Amino acid sequence: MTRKRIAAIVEGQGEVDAVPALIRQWLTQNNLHARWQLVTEKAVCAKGQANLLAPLQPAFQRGVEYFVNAALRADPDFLLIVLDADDACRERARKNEQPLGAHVLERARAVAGHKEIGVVIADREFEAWFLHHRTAVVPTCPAAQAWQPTREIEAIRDCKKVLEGWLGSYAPTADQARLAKRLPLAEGAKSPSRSFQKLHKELSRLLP
Amino acid sequence: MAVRLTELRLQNYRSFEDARLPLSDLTIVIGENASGKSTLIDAIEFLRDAVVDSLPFALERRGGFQGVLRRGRDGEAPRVLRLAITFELDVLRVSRSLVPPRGYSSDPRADVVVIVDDANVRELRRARGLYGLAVRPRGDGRGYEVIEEHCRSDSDELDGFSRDAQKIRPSRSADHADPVADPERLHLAIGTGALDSIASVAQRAVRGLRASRPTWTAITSPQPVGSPSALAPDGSNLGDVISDWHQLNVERVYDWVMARLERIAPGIVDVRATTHVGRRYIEFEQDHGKDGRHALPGEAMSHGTARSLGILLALRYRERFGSRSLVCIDEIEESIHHGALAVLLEAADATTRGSPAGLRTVSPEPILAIPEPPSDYHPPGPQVLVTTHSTELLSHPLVTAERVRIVKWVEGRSEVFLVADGVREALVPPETVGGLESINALFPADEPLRTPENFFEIGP
Repeated sequence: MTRKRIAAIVEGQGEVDAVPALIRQWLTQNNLHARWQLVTEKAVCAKGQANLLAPLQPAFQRGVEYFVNAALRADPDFLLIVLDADDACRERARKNEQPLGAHVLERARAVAGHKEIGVVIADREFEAWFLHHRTAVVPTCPAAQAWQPTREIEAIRDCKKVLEGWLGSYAPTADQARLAKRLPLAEGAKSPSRSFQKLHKELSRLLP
Repeated sequence: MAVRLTELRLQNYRSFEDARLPLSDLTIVIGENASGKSTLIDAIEFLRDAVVDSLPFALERRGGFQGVLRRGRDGEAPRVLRLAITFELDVLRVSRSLVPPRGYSSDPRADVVVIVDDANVRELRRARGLYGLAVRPRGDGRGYEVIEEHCRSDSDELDGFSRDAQKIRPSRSADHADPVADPERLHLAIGTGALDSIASVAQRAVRGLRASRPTWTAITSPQPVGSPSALAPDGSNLGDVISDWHQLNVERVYDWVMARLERIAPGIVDVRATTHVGRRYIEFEQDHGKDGRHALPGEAMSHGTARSLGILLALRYRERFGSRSLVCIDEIEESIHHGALAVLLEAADATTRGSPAGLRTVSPEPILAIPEPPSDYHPPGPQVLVTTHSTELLSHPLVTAERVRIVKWVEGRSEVFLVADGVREALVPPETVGGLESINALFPADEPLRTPENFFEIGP
């Protein structure tokens, strides 16, 4: 049986390995390797949210359309776009603009309407998922287990700094994929993080 | 040299279990650290060492046979190391009436194999050839033995040989075989006089393999005086080579190298070697503007300039009576500014295009000269293979997807891939290979390149 193909597009260097690691984990947990394969071990990287969300400028490698077109060359059946919201979601809501996820999806569909596309906006950043699921991600870290957020995790501006406090050091390129593999994807539907629920929902489209 | 290498094949060589590396005029090999790029160059050097020096020497330099043989799983039968190169060559069939009967002297830089024919013909065409070997551990677990060695072509007119563990057979005399004299040595390493035409071509092609990974330390340290020979991969005999500038400049090597070095390191106007007490010392002269020119010792040269000098010489320098088929440059970008990288890449490309020159011949029969070559015949220079991680270099227009090979570490072994068809077809300027590589969108083809079922078949 020919396996269907998944390509991922991300914005940061840490997610380059972390998002494929999550997808592989999902395929393994659901015994989907016979049906699906990742086109490469690394995700297509926009090198920053600004590059991804900028108007299309192929010569400068900018614009959702550019990165979707680049990923299409691997002939994927399913495209998963994962980016950090940072302040963009709130900013767009304040300006009464189309929600960020819908905006990215619309632009991606304009060039890849014939493909399945999923867009996940990590609110406020990918590392917020680690904070939500600290029991699974860093089970042996007492500081993490004792940690009580004083406000909504999504309101924390620098989740990386919190992780650094727990782990002594945290570097996305070195640690993000390693920790992502521990995220409890199977229980994603019940996650306290809505954006992690969305990731679960998008990946569930791979199920038969 | 009109022999064009088309492919390197490897089985059980270090991290490679089974792989094929197609070679272009200019081949760019990319891949992550420790993926196996340098091992490809090492395999090419190994072939050369085994033929130019000896198989025992080539293995000893690499820690013995077990140092190069890919290890099998526990309990698995001992693996066989196989290496081969395939090539194309020009064959000129020419009527005996057009050829003077005697007086031919062999030219080691031969371009064309000449078949002297009784028919009234004059035809230049391409033939394909292969040279390869198979080595396995001895049954008693000590040492190794050559169990196969083949040199063949797809042309009936060109004789080669095949060898198994016991016998060596000329390919056109299947009923005749000689016993193998030494199971630890290669037949191709024997002198040219004992070999038939395709073997002579293969021997020249293998002898012409060159690797270059020059280091500042090797280039700028005092070097023992020797005679100019092949430039050492690390540049440790560069003093001998450039002490011979005047002779080199017969082929305008000095002018060619200096023109490029001046662009890489503005102000450098001369490089020379001096000799004191049996040692060579590199010196260079720099233009300091109104303060005049100053001679400086080699140690004052920057790392990037020294490496660039080594690479340029590797691209251009051909020892007298030598030939070069493929020049391999490992990690061309190391210590080198991205602006200088463009100069080096363009120099590599120019090297492959060679220069108009007389047609030289090697023939199974003695001839003095051959008729004028066809008007469209232009002997190319050596091929060049470059390994790199540099997205700047990969963004140069000379780097096309067709020239790129991707080496990846997959499930415990190194594999070679072409760039995926979808990427090749859609890549049009101003988009570049480097641009796609920088965003992880230079996708490899789905399947790695494998050797044919019969490892020593020339190919379709």
